[in-house]
Amino acid sequence: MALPSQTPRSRFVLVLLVLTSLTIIFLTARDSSLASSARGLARDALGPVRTAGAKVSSPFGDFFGGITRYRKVKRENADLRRQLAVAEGKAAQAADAVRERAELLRLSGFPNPDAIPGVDARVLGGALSNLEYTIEINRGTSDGVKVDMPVVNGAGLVGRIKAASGHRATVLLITDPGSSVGVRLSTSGDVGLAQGQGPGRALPVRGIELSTKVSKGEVLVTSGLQGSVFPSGIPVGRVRSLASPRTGEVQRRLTMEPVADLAQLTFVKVLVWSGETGGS
Amino acid sequence: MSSLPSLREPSVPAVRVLRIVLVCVSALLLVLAFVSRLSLFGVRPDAMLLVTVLIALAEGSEAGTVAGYVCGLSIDLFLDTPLGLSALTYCLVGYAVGQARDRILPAFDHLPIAMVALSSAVGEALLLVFSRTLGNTSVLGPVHVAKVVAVVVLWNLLLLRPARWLVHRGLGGVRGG
Repeated sequence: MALPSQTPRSRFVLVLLVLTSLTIIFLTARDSSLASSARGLARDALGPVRTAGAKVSSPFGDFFGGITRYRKVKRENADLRRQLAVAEGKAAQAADAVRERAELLRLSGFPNPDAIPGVDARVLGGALSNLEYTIEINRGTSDGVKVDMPVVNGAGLVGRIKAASGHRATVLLITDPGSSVGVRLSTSGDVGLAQGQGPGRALPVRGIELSTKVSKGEVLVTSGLQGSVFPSGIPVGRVRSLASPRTGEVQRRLTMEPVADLAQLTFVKVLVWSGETGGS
Repeated sequence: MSSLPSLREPSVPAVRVLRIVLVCVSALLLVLAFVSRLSLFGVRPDAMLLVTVLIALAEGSEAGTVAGYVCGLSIDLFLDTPLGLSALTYCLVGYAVGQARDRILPAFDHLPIAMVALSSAVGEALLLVFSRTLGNTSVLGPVHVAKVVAVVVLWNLLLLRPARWLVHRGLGGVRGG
């Protein structure tokens, strides 16, 4: 078998480019500001391409999504109408409780998630690789967005800001395996930690005591414990499964699914809130 | 890719390198605008890896290495993983595919599609393993890697025709391809 004549030259090019890549990796690992500056420039420069792509493809996605998921959408619509009727009744009853809660939070010095100012943002798309589970939004540091700020939608918690450039920001979704959220059971108040397992997979919740009463469908909200990047009381998920305790176990094994539909995000809100100061 | 590549080729001239860079940049723009919106079981296509493989199959190992580096570094700018990681992985894949083209492909007519599948699998697996080694906790264990690799191979085969059109048009006629 004959060898190509360019083998020594291509090998030289390979060695050169491998060494260059390794140098970039080590240089940016030592000084991450270099990588952040380069990435900020690139994202802001090509941001309009993502914005245009999102605007062009959105109607097609909605159209084809509507066709392929017609039966599911129809069923969801009927369910949502029923839920809306129930929710309207409960909302009237809850208005007084909400007012009392806001007053208690104010007196005790805890942040009220409903009163935290936010920056509305459009979702431009998902991550460009399978190395992280993120979304990109069209708001950045020039809009007041900073790293670690919580991101929510109408249903509940979506994630937190992982990186921000002038006019763009990356949101780490709560389902990313590198993400963990302190949660509190809405009934018992017991706290635990929900760890991401990738898209479409339920999040295991650890730290819930064995004696705690938990029911399927129960809502978990952010615990807002000291040091948490999330304020207390934001809905995160619903209990999806409860495993029977094994001998010797001291904690409940349960999983939750996010209340926010992370696969169908169009608009989100960045809460202008810092875990350290509790405000912007 | 249906015809067989030449075993003895001149080194890649500067104009050719410029065309390769233009193809990579065009691919990046398409990824930013449209491809990044595709998702199956939460897994996205690795179109930049696909373009690297196609350039390596069309032009050989030196062009494949350069294409891998340009594709990888350009996509690295839009990720939050270590800068240079995709560049390193893709240029290794580009070199290996180019070498395989010269050494193995002449013996088999239908191997390019198999080569795209195999190199997509190996490239994605390498990327995930390198990333995990450098501390990326978003990459879980072997089951997660296997799932991502399998879906990426499926995606890249689905995108093969448009990607091949882009590479062939961009390179303005492929040497040996």
